[in-house]
Amino acid sequence: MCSRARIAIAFVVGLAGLAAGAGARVFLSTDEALRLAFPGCAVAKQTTFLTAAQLQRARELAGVEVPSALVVAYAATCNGAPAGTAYFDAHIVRTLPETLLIVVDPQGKVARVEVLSFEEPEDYLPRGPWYAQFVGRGLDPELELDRAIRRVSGASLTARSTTQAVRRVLAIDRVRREAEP
Amino acid sequence: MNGKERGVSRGGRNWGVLVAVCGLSLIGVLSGARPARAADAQERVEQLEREVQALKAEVARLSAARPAVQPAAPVPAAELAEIERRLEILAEEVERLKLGEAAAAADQPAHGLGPAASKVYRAKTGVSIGGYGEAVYENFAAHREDGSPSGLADQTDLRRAVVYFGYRWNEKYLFNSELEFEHAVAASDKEGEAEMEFAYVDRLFRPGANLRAGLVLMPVGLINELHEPTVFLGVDRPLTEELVIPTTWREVGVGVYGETRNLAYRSYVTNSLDAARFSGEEGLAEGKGEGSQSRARDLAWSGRLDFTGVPGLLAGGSLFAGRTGQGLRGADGRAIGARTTLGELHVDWRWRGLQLRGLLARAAISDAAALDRALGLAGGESIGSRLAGGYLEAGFNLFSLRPRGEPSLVPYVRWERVDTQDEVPSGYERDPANDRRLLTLGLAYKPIDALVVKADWRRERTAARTGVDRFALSLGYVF
Repeated sequence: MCSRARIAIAFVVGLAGLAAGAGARVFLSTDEALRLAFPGCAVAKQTTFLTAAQLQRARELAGVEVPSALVVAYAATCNGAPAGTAYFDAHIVRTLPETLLIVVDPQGKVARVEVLSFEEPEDYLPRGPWYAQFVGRGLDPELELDRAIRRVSGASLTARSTTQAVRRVLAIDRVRREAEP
Repeated sequence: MNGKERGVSRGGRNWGVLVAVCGLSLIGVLSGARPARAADAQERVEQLEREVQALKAEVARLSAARPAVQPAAPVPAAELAEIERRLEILAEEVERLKLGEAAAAADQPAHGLGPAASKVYRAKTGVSIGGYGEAVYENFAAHREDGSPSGLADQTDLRRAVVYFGYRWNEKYLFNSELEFEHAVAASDKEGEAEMEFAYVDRLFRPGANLRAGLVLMPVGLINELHEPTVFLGVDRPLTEELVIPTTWREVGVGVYGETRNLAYRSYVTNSLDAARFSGEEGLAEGKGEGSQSRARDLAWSGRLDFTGVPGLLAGGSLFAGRTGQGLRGADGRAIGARTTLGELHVDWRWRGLQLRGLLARAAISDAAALDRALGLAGGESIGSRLAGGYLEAGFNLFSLRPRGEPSLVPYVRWERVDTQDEVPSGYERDPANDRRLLTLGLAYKPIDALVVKADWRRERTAARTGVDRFALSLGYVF
């Protein structure tokens, strides 16, 4: 009984501490994500309708499906200089969707990956610094699971879908750059 | 080509009217849109995109045809601006449908939002369904290592078919469960079982601290919480994570869990194990309560801490501690405490195509002699006062050497030693048959990440020379 009582007391104390610190709920919308990615910068929305040829090229570059010819990008300018372009990519992980913010720097490499929404159980969400693996990566054969991108034990499907999303965005970004005069 | 810069340069009233009609029709469709299932939203997005493309094509056609009819007719700037405005509205609506909940306004202001707060999850109500399963073929050697008949029959088995079922009421509360059918048929003349492997309610506060209550998977070891066949190498789970750490070990209780940037933790209070079901041969395996009218006179604490600060690396440990007597009394009438402490250290590392995994577990049971006497165990049947086990596992994805692609082909090797009687009370004997060494060599092929076919050969050696080699094939899936 003594050990049970100790456990119960410790647990109640723990709960009290938890309740005292609870309540700081924060959601990340697209607007918040853009402010997080480009603090203090001017962001211009750019809508692009890819041609059939551009769509095909994007698919070939990405090596994954590019489902839409409609591309919405957010180009940021900080202190008068280009700071990168942000894209939102929504895709299915296992049976439910995930939405990512992927920022491409002016050199065409990944500057940031953020999770906006994730509707699968959180057990399938890679933790913390895993997403940092993408930073500085360009669209090349190294940008694959089991190459430059390490898997996550127990979250392979999320790791796969995230890697595919990054490849897709980098390919679209490259195609858009190629169309620039 | 940027939409704002694209070549919509000339036009007239007739195609302007067409655009307006199409635009209004689409807006009419969109005005009826409501949050819907992902498939409905996807269909709506595709339909919108088709209509936008058709609209563009019609505009282009009319633009091309226009000069022949009215080569000099200027397009009023206001009309062009209105068309572009409507196209932008349609594009925004398509994007909103694609992004779903994330496109909505935030519930709270963004101030104070830092990198740690960026991994937050938009609330979404509704049902979620998933599952996994595995079917195996086992071919046992006809003889044990000492040459005597093994007596084991080859078999096929649908080991498990599992359905995950979850429901999220709102952004604070969700339910998650796993319903498992083992061995295909649950009947009086079969060994199949239908059981809940977990069923709990989460109260979500923030990434660093959340509450969980119900039938929970104990946070011990590498396999117990992540036991889908696509996650681990080998047709069989490591024996250490079956006998020293009970396999699919779950109990009813309550606890907290969360993660910081580099650490993840769980801390639960549950009903404890039941020492009356421990055995010398199967260790702690049968002592788990499984949420089925489990004895709860003794409670236990279990906790886990993992370091996740390096991509591809998971390293940590866990501990279970509590009395497990559950009211069992000896011949003298005194309660047997049977305090059980189980600790383990683990590491899982992924680097390029390489995957390495290791685990070391040890359990100590007090009052083992009193337990033996109360349960009528003698000689080599004794419950181990100490159990020990561990394994090392390595695999390499050969397909990682190719430029890209989802399929993987992983040859692997696992070496394991486990002894459920690493130490027994004085007056009792260790059964050398429980001192096992296993070497597994195999191949795992995944055409996609959610499907795996495994083949492996396992050599078993025991100190009593009773080991039986076996070959096995399995098909595993997850969805």
